Amino acid sequence: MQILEVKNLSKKYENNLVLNNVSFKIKEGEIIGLVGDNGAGKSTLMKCITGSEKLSDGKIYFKEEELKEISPIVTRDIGISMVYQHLNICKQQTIWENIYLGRELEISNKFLKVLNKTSMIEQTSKTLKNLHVNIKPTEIVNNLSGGQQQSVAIAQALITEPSLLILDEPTSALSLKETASVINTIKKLKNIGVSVIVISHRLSDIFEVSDRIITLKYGKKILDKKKENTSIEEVTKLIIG
Amino acid sequence: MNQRINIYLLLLLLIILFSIISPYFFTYQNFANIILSSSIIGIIAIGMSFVIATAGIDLSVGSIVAFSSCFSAVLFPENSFLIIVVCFLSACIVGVINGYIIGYKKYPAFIVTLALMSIARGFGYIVTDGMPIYGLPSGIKFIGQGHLLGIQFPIILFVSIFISFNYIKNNTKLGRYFAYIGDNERASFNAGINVSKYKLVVYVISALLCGIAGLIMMGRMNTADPSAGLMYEMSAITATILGGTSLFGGKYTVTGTIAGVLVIGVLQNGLNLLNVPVYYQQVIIGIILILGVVSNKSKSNANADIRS
Repeated sequence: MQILEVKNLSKKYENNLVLNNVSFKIKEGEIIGLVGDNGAGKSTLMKCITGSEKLSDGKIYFKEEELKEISPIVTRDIGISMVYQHLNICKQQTIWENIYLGRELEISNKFLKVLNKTSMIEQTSKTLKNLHVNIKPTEIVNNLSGGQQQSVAIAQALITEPSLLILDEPTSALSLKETASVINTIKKLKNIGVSVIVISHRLSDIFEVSDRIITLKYGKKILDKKKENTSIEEVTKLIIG
Repeated sequence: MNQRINIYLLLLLLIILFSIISPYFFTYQNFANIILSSSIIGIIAIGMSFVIATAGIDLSVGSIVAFSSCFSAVLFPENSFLIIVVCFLSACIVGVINGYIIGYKKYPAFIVTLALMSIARGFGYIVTDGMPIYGLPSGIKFIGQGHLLGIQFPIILFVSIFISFNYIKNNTKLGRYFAYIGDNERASFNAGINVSKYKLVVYVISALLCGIAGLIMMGRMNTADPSAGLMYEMSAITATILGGTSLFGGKYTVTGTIAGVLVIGVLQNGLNLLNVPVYYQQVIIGIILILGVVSNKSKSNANADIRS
């Protein structure tokens, strides 16, 4: 089944065309590695898909249905989650609050709906364990290391059990051990049918996890090949050439 | 957390200090007086804490107190129920204007609420011709002077609002979203939180609490006064910051704010008992605010250092 189709997507900031007629498709359980130099338009493309940036032209289909209204609320509810390069976290709040940011669990008492803190803390604890991250859910995020904060952001994206997960530079701030853990997590997602788009400058990481590689340059798609049909050398040449 | 403990310690120290210095301080009646005199600023400061949590500010609170009370008293000088309804409605309108311009049009809260401070105060003077309105109906007097189960009604209102808002802050989406928005507005938006709507809501909450404060004030004085509530924004901000709410948003505390209000109340009461002139009191409260802001800023800088 086709999860996502991006058709002729363009994005302009005043007179600056940052995405130029980009099209691609993703199947269920497929992992796409999205690469390109700084300013190639990778993050903007993903933000257009999640609705945190408005697209100037083009269409997006999710599970073969056109998205008429694209906003972070809509895309989250239909099953698209994104881990942003600049992490989508509130650093003065606890880990469990960040993981459930915007989708808190509630219970009704006599008068009003209140937060179901116990359940959220328990679920957060489980999710962190699955990611092999050993931190208390009640810890304030500001007190965590960069790698731990990245793990919180990934756990935040996974808590909704999305069909499509977008990871923007997920390993850039991580230690080798933490990177291996994230790569392992991405591979596990494929096994349960989650499609993933990974943006990274680390081509070795991209080639380890991806099924297909898409390369952007100056906002245009210049390569879209299965991993077996390309190589790190070819991609590097295209990016810097 | 440390700052919150500091404010409770400061409150305790002031109580001990004034109890030693003045024989009239440590009495039930005097404590009731402190809470009663703190009730109006306390209610406004609770709303201010919610606003500051979103990294906003509401400078129009004192003017909303004056405008909503005067407007309602001018329209229905003899009907308590209608005074209450109009007082809430008129306060709510100012809150909606503040919240809409800040939340949806993205203008800075400082400028918008500064403008509304002037506009609402001006309307207060216009509707009353600049003259206080004396002699309000008994229902309004009850709000400011009445007793329920032997306790003064403003104290009951103050404590009820404190308990309710502390619960909302800790246990509801609404209470948490204000902190999330102040902490990282972009992250909150990306997480699907309707940032504009919640910003509007927070200024309406602040204005409605000002409406309640206006009713208490009218009842206490038996007067609707267009010059009422001058500098209330400063007292509310002082109490909020002293209590440990971050001026930069993201972290707030209702209990801390109440402790901040009581610190100011105890200080004013104690200094009055010691016959310290009011000008000196203003200087002392100003110094305490500076200490609060410096403590807040240095904590924030420390956090920034950790992040960088």
